[in-house]
Amino acid sequence: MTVPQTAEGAWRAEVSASWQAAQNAPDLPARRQWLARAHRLAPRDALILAALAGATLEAGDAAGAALLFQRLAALDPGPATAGPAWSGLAASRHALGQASLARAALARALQTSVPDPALANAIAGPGGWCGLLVDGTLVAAGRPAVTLDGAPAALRWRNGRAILPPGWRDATQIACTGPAGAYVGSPLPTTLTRLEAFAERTGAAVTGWAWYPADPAYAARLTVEAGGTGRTITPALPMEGQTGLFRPRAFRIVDAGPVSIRSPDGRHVIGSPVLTPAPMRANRRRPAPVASVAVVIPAFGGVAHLTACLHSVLATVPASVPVHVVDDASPGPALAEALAMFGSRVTIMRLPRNLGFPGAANAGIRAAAGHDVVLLNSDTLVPPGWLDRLRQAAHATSDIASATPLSNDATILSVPSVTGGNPVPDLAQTLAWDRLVHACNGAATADIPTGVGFCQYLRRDALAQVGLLREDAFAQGYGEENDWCWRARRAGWRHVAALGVFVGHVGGQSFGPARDALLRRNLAVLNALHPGYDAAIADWVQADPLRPVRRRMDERRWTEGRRVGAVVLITHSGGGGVDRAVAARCDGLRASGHRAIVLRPGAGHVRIDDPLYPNLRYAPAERPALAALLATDTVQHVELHHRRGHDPAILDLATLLRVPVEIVVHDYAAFCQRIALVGPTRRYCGEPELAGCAACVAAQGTLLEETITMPALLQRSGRDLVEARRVIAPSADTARRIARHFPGITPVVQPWDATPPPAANTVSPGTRVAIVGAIGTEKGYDVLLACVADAAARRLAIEFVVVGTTIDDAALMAAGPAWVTGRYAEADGVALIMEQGAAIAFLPSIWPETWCYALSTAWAAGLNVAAFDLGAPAERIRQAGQGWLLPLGLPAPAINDALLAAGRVARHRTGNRN
Amino acid sequence: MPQAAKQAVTELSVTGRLMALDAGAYCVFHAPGTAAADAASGLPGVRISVPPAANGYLGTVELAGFTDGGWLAGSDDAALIRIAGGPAQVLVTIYEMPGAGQKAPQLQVIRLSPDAPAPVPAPVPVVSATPEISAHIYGQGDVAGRIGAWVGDRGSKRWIEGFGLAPQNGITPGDIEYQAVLGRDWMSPWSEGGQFCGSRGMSLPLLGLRVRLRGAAANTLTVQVQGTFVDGTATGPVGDGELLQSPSLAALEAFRIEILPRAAARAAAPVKATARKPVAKAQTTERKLKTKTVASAAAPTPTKPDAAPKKIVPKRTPATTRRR
Repeated sequence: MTVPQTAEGAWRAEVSASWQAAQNAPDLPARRQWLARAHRLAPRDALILAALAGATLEAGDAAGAALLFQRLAALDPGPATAGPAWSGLAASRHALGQASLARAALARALQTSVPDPALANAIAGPGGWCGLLVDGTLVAAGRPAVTLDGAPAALRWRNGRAILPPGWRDATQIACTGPAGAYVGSPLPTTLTRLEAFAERTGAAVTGWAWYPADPAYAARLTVEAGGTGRTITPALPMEGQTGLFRPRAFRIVDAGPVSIRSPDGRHVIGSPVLTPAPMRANRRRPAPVASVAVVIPAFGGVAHLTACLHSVLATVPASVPVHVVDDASPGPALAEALAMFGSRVTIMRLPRNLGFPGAANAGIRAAAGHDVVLLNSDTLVPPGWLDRLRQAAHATSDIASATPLSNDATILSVPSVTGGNPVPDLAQTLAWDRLVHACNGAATADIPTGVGFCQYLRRDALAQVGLLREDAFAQGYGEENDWCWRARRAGWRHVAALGVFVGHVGGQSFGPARDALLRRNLAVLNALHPGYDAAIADWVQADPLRPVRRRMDERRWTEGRRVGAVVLITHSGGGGVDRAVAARCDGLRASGHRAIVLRPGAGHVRIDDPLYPNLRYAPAERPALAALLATDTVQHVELHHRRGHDPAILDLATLLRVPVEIVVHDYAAFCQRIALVGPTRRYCGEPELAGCAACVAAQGTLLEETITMPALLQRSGRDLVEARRVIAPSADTARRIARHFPGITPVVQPWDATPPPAANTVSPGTRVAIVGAIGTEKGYDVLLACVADAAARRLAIEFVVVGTTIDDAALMAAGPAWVTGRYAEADGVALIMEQGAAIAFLPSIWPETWCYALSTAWAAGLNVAAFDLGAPAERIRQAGQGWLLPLGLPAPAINDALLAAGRVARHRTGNRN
Repeated sequence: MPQAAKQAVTELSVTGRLMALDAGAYCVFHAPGTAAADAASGLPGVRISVPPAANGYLGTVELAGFTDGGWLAGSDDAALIRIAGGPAQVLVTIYEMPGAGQKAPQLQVIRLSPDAPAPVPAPVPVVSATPEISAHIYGQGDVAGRIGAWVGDRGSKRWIEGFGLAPQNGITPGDIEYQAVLGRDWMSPWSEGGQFCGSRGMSLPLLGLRVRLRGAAANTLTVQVQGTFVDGTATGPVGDGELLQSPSLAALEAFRIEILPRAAARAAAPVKATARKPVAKAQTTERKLKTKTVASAAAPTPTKPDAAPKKIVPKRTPATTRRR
């Protein structure tokens, strides 16, 4: 079954409409309902979630609010989200009478912002609480003893507030204690007062934004230096494209020349300085290569990562290799103290002021004069032998300027998944990965369009000809190494990946909106300096020349994990009920000690669907290679769940493996190119003769993702079914239907789940009818819409709640008494149905479903179900002996009458019994 | 005394109807919008009861009354009917104060339990009285028929709501399958021999049907079907697997199924779509029917299925009841 996919644009419009409806709602219940819908549509939107949680608390549902505030807190650790989340959670728990939990939540809230003092007083009690405003005002109940990084500070208190002494920003934390010990919230991190700001060139102007995430209402002040003069500005323009709780104010400075923008602590904001980089040309002369190498590690904070990195470097490079750490004016003494432990083995250069990564890297490269340089990020881990192998790669030919190893997080050189999301390895895992890549790839190199800056071997002869990294274009960094690589390319140099080296990289963390903006800014600068850069990278990614390398590595790991008793499941990539059944089947196989191997189709290939092995993709011509890989497990049989999207000869795999095939029927793709037996009139087609099917395909097209005539489809399916060892169908109705179209085939009936119907054939009080699932045409959208319209026209005492989605929520809700909750996670389905307070459930599906999980979900939620007398739902309802079966084709008014009658009977029965 | 005697007897208008229902559970209830009864007299009133005799039906009737005596109280009441062991009739009686000017109570019947309809028994080699065809006819209930004979009353304008086939003489249930026409380009699922196709008691007419043979039977035998429709159209015979329906998509009123040796069928050239009498206005019947409505007024002569309200019982018979 295909699930209706809402287009991105339509989805945004629906989110926005629901949000607006919530703003205009006449009362709190309506506001909550619209916000709940908006939240289901956009579950990661912090603004919507915060509003929903607030409305829930306002409505007196403190327990529900607590859950929502917890969800909000998990969404984003930034203070703009975490502040309201923890404050709200504290208030919810306070309302629930959970005193200690409320105090814990308040403590977390105070780490990010200052909540309502009255609430804080109520929760903290006589023990006291403290908070820090972004302007350096300490807020507290009573008069605590205050220390800044352990040093006592004498403060003047007035109305529960005190101004911190000058220099307080140099402290890491502020502690408040009273007679009963530490105040709730203490110690307070000074980082919570951080200003977040960004600047970039936009034509003849410099634009950007600034805000204090801990206090979005507090006006930020920035110092602007342009044309030799300085001034202070307060960004006040509204931001375009604001989303969630990201609520900064924008500024715009018209100045075509160099502009610096600094925060109150004197640092450049992200993206500043905004300069106009001039073209840089390489020297004509190319000097001779050098034989020695030095390691240069620029560092800014991040003590723990740097320490681990240095340990791994010192353990793996000879004593003759100089190691330079450039401390880019990190705040506080922590970094310097940590570096002191390494003694003279590490050369430490502390910059007097923060230069950003390019400047710090250049300082290190200059310090390592006469050597090749490995520019190494401070959050990396290196394995034994890495430097030698990297050096060999860089010197494999005379025209190589740089060599970059593989890593878990290295953009185009990431493994195993090149699209990212790989787990960060610890040192032992880094070593294991390095052994693997070395064993697979040896000393092999591959040309790459650019090196990657996390660990890049730069040859001194190239540096001498091309020059250093640009410091005038990329502000705090990102893109400077790409710029260098392209300058080198223009001078005739190549860049290579050292395929036999792996370096672990923490990287990848979210740097927040300012860092994301910097990345975007610098890519624009890079493309301005090197037109065609983006396109060249995109072409390389598209061609993906390293795919065979990654697959080889996955294959090697795969065979290391081999076991006996595997089952290969062939299915489509379309999700829905098929996926759910396949997932359940895999669970069952694993529970019985088997390895379940799922094969799904991709563009021109079949892939093993296993997130641990993302590169096991095989073109049809490579099927023998896939079979050979699969044969490393003892495959017992192949299960064909769905052919859609697969090469027509996919079952040759079973022949190559010499194992039998079992066919599992999920729908009617074996004889219906529309899969669900719904014809051009958007109704059950009646399963016509071949000519009828051909006309249907001609009118509607095929959903099989292949071009095949009806006779050829029937012939192929017939052969599949005859040759299969077993054909499995989830219901007798499905089995009969298959047998009717393929005489002689007798499928085995195996229900997908064993959900029992509710205890009795009753309905709950009320007039609500629940409809469960993703309601598209086949699932009966047209029927539902007609029922809703009829209910409105006749003013019936009935309302419809779709627990899930439809192909057009807005049209349904506009037609009459209908509500659509929005998408839900499978595990939440039962609870969400129960929340609706529905009397019964209605399955409007107009195709002969083969199983219908929605029926199981409705039953599990305690609802009896009305459905058309068609397919597996009818069979299951009939077997259960309870529920309501309606003839297919019953007009909407009659359906509504039937649903009303069902409720009537139940009320009378209840009345009789009581 | 004379005055009191006059008041002791009140003449009522009473309508009684026998309603045939298949085995299963049903709910009879006031249709939405039914006017409230007179508070003092409780009229008009509706009573559901078991008829005095089984009238040839095999099923047993159990009435779950919500008020004593099987009365439907007020304007928003319902009664439960459970029928077991085969089809049975129930008696629906409507009592009205003559000349009260009130709209007669409108009732609706809905089948509740999904109990499998009593299947047409599978054929057995010995001579059997089992019907080869069963059909559910609007206003009449289930009727039995035979291959080669007409099922349904031609010209009656009572439509067929469902049917099942179980031909004998060597045709197994798997050898025959059939489906009903629900609307334009809209067919029911296929049913096999012995299965019921369509609905019962939902006032949902079939607009045609299609029958075909399969397997061994198809090699030697073929099917011909002809029918009449409530708009006066007569169609067919049509051959094996061909659609029997009227050009106007009128409700099916009667049909005749013949199973012939293939050679004989070839000799008899099928004639299609002949109008028994000209149809002035061919009206497309889209299935816009309501659930079965029991009304107490007007004559039960539905000319096309979407003409509401629908009556399922014989014409109202005024009666006098003496109240004691």
